[in-house]
Amino acid sequence: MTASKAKVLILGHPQDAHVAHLRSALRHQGALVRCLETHQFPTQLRFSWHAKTQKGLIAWEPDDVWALEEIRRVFWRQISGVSIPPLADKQQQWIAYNDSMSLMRSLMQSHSPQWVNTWEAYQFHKEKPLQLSTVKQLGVQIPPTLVSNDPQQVIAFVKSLEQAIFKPVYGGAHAQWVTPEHLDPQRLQLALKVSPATFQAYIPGTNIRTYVIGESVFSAEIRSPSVDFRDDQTAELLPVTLPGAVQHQSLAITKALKLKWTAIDWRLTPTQDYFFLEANPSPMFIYFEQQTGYPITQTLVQLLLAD
Amino acid sequence: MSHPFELDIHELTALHLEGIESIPDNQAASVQGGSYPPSQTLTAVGPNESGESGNVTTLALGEEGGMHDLPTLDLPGSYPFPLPYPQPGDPTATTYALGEEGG
Repeated sequence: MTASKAKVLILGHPQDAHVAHLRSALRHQGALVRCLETHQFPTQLRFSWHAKTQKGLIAWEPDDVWALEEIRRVFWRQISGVSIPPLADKQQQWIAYNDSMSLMRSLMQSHSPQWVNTWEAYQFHKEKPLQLSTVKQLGVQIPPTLVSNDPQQVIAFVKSLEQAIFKPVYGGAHAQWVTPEHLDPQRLQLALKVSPATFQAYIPGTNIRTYVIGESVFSAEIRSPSVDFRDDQTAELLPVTLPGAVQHQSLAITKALKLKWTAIDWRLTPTQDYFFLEANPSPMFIYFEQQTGYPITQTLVQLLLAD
Repeated sequence: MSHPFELDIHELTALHLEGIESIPDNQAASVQGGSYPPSQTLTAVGPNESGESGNVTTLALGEEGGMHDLPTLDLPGSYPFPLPYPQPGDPTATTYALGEEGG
């Protein structure tokens, strides 16, 4: 690792706890670190792309410019889109939005080996139902799952299960139990006109979270009686070692989902079966690291500064 | 944050979702304005033998395969959008947090 003067870009807001934490750790290793807040483009940030040479530039100020090829890594914490000034002609505004997104997306994909994680991985994560199937094809167990907005399908599926939960198709809300009230035909009919949801068999057991960073794997049990441990502020984190086969599966999942680092959520049954729930492209880790003592930050910094 | 699947019957009824239904083609054809790009997009492709018909290829808009809508118009605070906001700053809450999708 040659950290000295290595340029690292962090995609995210400087006040985000994880951005600030990682920036500090990288600077401690001698790296030059900047945050890239995409919503500042195109009003404050300037992007350039030379299609013939595939050279890209990011300019914060006229004399403050980073060439894409000089950047060692870009760490993806959070993308915030682009911000277009309000225009009287809404069609012009739409064109400006698409043009800005198109240039930004091109830059983000032009040097993908630098990115942790990549645009491709972020996009793939948006298709969570497809991700789940991809993981299943690796031979990994997943809970019986239906993603639907068809009341008949939902009722039939939920009734086939002992206990069911629902959760977002993409993200942004916690998992909840499916109750008889949810299945009231009139309510269900209307609710599913608003949005589809993911319906899944509840897997009894405990939660396991596995961080994969490059080839490193760190796991802990998250003990919580809650249906979604993220909802439980009293959850206990206990370091565990995964069976070899599950360790290999974790690495295979990371690769199949085009990720370079991730946190995989599992349910572990009393019969020691591991069920994959999801793998996130921008997992939070500070609390997990504090509680388990795993060197998440150090391993992440090594990944970001590797030649 | 909660998923819209949690909305109760009163909240859902207030949305008047039952009134949303398809209309026949002849009624739809009489509706003026609305969708963009304009009608040449529907015909503006290739020679007749391609099966796509139309003769206004060079005027074609909307070949990007994306939406016709102007989503920024309907979103709160179209400028700046999306609103830039950091994740909650308390790292002790991180395993409980939402927002690991990177977006």
